[in-house]
Amino acid sequence: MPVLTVREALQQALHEAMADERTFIIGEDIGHYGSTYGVTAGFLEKYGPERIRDAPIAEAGIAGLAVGAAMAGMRPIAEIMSVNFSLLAFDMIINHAAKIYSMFGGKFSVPLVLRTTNGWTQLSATHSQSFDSMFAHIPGLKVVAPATPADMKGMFRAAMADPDPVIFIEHTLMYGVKGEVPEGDYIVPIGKSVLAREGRHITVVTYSRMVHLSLQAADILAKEGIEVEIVDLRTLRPLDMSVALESFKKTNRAVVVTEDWQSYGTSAEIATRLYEQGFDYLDAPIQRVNFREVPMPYAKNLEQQVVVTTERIVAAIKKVLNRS
Amino acid sequence: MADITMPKMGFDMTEGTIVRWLKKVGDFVNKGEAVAEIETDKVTIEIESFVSGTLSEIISPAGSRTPVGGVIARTSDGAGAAHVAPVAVAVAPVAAVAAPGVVVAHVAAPVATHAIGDVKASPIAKRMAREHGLDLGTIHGSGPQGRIVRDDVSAAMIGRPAGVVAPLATPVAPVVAAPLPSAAAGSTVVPLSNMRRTITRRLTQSWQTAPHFYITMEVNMDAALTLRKQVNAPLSKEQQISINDMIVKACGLALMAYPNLNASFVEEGIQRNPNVNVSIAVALESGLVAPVVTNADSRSLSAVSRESKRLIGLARDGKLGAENLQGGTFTVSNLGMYGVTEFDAIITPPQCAILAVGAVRRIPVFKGESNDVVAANICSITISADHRITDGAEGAKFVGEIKRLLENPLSMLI
Repeated sequence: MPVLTVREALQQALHEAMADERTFIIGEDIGHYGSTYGVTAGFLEKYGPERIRDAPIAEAGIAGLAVGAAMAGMRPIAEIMSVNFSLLAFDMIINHAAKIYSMFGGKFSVPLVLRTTNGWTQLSATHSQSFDSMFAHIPGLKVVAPATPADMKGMFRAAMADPDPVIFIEHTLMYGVKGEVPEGDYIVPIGKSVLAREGRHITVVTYSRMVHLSLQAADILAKEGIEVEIVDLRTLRPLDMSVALESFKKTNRAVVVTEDWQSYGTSAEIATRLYEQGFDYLDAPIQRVNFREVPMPYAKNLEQQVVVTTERIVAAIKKVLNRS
Repeated sequence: MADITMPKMGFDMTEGTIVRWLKKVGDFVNKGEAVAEIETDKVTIEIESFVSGTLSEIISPAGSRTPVGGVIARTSDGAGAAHVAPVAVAVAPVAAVAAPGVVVAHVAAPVATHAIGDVKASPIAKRMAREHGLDLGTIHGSGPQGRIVRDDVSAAMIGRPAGVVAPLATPVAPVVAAPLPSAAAGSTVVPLSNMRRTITRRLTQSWQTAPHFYITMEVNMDAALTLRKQVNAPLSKEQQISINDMIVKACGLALMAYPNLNASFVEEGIQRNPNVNVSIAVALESGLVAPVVTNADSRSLSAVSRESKRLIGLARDGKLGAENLQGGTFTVSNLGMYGVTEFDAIITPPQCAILAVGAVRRIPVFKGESNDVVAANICSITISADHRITDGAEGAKFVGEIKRLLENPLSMLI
């Protein structure tokens, strides 16, 4: 299998999507500049300005236009450069994209894929946030956050084929992550989680970039004889807990790792599902590893105190296992 | 006016029997006062009223059975709905309570079972303890703040400490309040280990509830020994097939042919178990464990042998996990190595039967019509079977099938 970066896998998926004449891409700096993270580099030259639409800094306009186009039968891809800017588009996403199918009695669907990114690295308080739980909170949306190049490509295909609005969450620190990507028309379905690593002592439930940090933590712990099983949720809504629960019933202990704030965040939902559906299998309180609950500092040393690190994951796993 | 209902005293309790009423109609009942003694499948308990009021009506008289949640009595003048709570758990066996003419001291055993709130245990630890009838109060917790965790209960099930600290043995309250025979000076009482306690509880339960019958047959092991010699010749010492492996395999096949012997007696009837899992009794210095060879019918003889060796090894090293001890549907107990000719075993609940295997003895037998006396290798096997599930004739056919397989051992290889 060819080894690709996340960026290359996404580029392939976007080129494939452009083969459908109903598809166009709209977003800030995606045309002439080739997008902030280089994903749509060369697209303007190849597909022309009709289908690669550089938008003004007007997120509500980008999202609203895409919702309308999707209702009218097109297959738009909207890019919100950073999820932090999506706040300006929330009305379009939550009150329109997510509601139209239900409120119009199923007469209109909104087959929209909205790409956006989580991420940080000295971008300070207003540009380092994650709103995963805010999107995943909303019935009517599908929310995916793949971790590997293969899943990026396979889930993008699933997102494009889906009749409902899909929030496709990428990560600025993952575009260079490499992995094997199968050839051919495989699809990674929305709403199916997967084991990222097998182990028998503890279950880590996570997704997106935290899968990679959890894998590093598992490597460190393996040297101490602790076998960590890692579940990559891949989709936040609809949330598939079957793999995580099966793992939890085996290990009886779990850590939930998510790159957002703990209070009311995605880890709250994940841990609750484990408690609700796995209570009789619980052997120790579930631990969560998340951003510390402050607006993200700019200073690098302080930023490192706030974000999730491999060391913090290792410490949480040991705490749940009552090992020091 | 408030109802007093039959409480649910365990996750599997469906109904309870009123042993006796401690109050009569017209009596005033204070909140928290015991009103009746009830008996479930497992325990006899006093139940107390959650409200104060006059006992106006007894709906379920002593001796009657009432489903969980059913109204057993009513009070008047009480405020709000009445609930009942257990106040004491007596470990008196059912038979003793029901025996006519016998006055059984009502034993409030000093908290034989701890209230959930008293003991810190994880949900899975609580569930495992409940399923295996273990008292959490006797198990040492190795988790934070002494929390009892899964591994502590697993350890208690097979009688070894999970961590470095040994389980705390609590003295067992005497069940009967009669004075013990005066003990000779200098006698000592060895507290029960968790394993001993488990053996005590489960085999007492078996002996009291499962009417045992026994069938013994002699098996000529000449062919089995010859086959074993041939099969083992090219094998390394670690791979050698034992006589016990052949017996386990024979039992597996015979159980497939006689599903009643692979069943469990449950309230609703006879539960036939989908898999044939043979427990092998392994003697340890500290007691006895019975790890389970799963699917003994479908495994090849060599696979039975490998699994059996692995489990015995784990047992000797004290490393058996709960998963190795659950799900057995039949047991083989072999005391042949101690020179035992034959013996009767007690059924391991909830199984239907157990096979007791004696030593292979070389004895003279008559052979053929000429009545020549020749040497033969004879082994006595005895099943103990639960008469609620099966009868003597079926038991005899079952043992006969084991005998047939062992005397024609090639049929176990195909």
